[in-house]
Amino acid sequence: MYPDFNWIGIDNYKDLAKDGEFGHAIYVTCLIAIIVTLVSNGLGLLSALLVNFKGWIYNASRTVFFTPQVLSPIIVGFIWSIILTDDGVLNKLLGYIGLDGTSWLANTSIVVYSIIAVIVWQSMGFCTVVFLATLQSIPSDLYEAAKIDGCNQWQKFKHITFPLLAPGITINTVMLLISSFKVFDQVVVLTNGGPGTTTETISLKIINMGFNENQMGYASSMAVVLFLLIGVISVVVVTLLKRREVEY
Amino acid sequence: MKRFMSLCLALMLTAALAGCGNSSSSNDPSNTSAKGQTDSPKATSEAPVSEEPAELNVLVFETPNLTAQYWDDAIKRFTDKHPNIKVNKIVSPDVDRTKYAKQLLATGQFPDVLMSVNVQEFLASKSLMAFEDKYVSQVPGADTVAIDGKVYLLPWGAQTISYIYYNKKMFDKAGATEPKTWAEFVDVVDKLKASGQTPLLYGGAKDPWSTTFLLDGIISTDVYSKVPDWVAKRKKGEVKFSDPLFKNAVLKWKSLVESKAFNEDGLAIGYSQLQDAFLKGKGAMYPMGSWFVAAANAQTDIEIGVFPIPTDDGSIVTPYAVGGPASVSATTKYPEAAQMFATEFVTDPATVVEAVKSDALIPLEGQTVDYVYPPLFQKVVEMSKQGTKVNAFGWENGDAAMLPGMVDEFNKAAQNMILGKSVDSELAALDAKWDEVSKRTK
Repeated sequence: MYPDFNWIGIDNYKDLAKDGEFGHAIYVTCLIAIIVTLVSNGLGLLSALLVNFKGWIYNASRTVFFTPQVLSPIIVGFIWSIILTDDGVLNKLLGYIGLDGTSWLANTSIVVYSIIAVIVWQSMGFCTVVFLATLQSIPSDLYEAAKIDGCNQWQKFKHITFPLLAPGITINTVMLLISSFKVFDQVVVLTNGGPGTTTETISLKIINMGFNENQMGYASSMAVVLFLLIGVISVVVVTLLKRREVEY
Repeated sequence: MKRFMSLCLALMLTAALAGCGNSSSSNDPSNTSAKGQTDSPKATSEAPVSEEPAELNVLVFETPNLTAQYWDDAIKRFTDKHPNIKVNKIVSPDVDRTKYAKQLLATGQFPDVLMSVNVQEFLASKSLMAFEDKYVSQVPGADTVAIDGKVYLLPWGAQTISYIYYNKKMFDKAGATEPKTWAEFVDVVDKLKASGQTPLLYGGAKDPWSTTFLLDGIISTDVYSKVPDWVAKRKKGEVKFSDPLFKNAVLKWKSLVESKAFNEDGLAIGYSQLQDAFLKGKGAMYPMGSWFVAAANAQTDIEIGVFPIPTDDGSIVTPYAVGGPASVSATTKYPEAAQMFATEFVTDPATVVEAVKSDALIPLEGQTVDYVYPPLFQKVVEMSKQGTKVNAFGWENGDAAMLPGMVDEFNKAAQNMILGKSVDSELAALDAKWDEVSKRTK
């Protein structure tokens, strides 16, 4: 971007280590990534179990669960920014049932969780589809054998369904972790990193540093840290989750 | 396997070394000056004559005021007149066309002509061409936006940022009248609160720049009226954000925040929701740029008045920003055609009138616009001619512009103050940030 530049060795990385705002961005990003991954997996599994039957109503439900996934994150963010404002739909609905709402996008102790909820809402459909595919690949004779042995529903889930869902959990966890660490669109549309710097994520910080403050070198060093973070976490998570995958 | 691992290592090192550079002297005035963008070899001698075939990529931005139709019509008027010149419209994905232009620059797709980008941000990279005198002389007010004597942007009007627009009915209900001094203004705020109405509105959410319109206005009137070259002095380290003059201006705004004079949902609503809130009568006063006049004229729900930011002694100070749309790339293949397009764009009567109508531009000295101004617009134009004109804080152009990214930092600091952080700590953080950006970009 600039015709001239100075070689400054690892100064940018040294500055990064001391940069409190970047540290905060890493914390926010990790918080989003961990909660989104856990909750989306949980809700995705629940919804997959709910719609893993034959019939038009279940097919329609699958479509409903998957619809948010095909929407652009920008559009999702825009829709939720209207829902989450102080006089938005959510607070009005809460008012009807006698509950006090809050300022979902301005309350600093809540706003990160508002963003997380929006991302979970969107990514849950992906988890549902992956879990559904995995569920349907489990041989039915295993359930028949369990029935003959006198297993109840919980025992069937614990000893057959859950262990055989491991490949699905691996895929969902890795994909969600990677996409959550890169989270940008929803944050920009909902809060643009605010109020103040409360919801600034690493990707947002990189874009602002590079294209607002014109500090491409410093932004690049942040991007390298993000790359390493995603790389290391992905390898660790895949290694750990692969260990618990089983075949009957 | 060994070769594969070596390749991986090489890729990793390349990625890591990407963060080992810094932009040299991106805001060093000495580097952005005399050499400037006219150093481009294509700027003059290799230029084709004006009516030779040319193809221009023009970056525009679309808003509710400046619609796709507006840009298409303006481009068509030019291409009808110059059939040999083809114009391709590139639309910025959002109103932040400066950021988009930087992305295009970084990916080698910098357009030939750019509309309303922040010129200061492209000087270090020598990406913009200084207009030749023959074009500058055709545009009234062009010399007022010169940087080190060179014009990188052709203006077509001015805006006042901010005046305070108010809901006349809500003022009547509270028994309030237009204040002239700061003490009267505080009194109006108290009367509005006592009558159960929200005195002031601000926004936030995805548009943090909508948080600070009143604060920008107070700093412009209190600081810039006393130290007109405050930004230049800050660049030299002669003044600071934490100096008493600047701090007192911020404290005036903070006292209003603490007295709950603003809407409670400010940080949760974006710019369009903010404007909607004022037009629906959810707040009595709306500090805003003069472009709001266009939206005010287009509605009939409320009756709107306007007054300048009240000062301690009641003197009128107008925060004023001369702006315009057209800049030209230093690396354009068609410098003559690009400069001609830019010049004709800002001087074409139909294009300018449409912009005046839809974006409420105040005419510059020497500029005549064939337009009958609606009453509120007329009042803003007349007010802009009274009192002292100063730069609008956060909206400065040319030599007076702040370091890249500092306006965003200021907006974040203002939000932090709303959230309860102290003025002292936030101003000290701004000083530290300024010094850091300044050092890193040297």
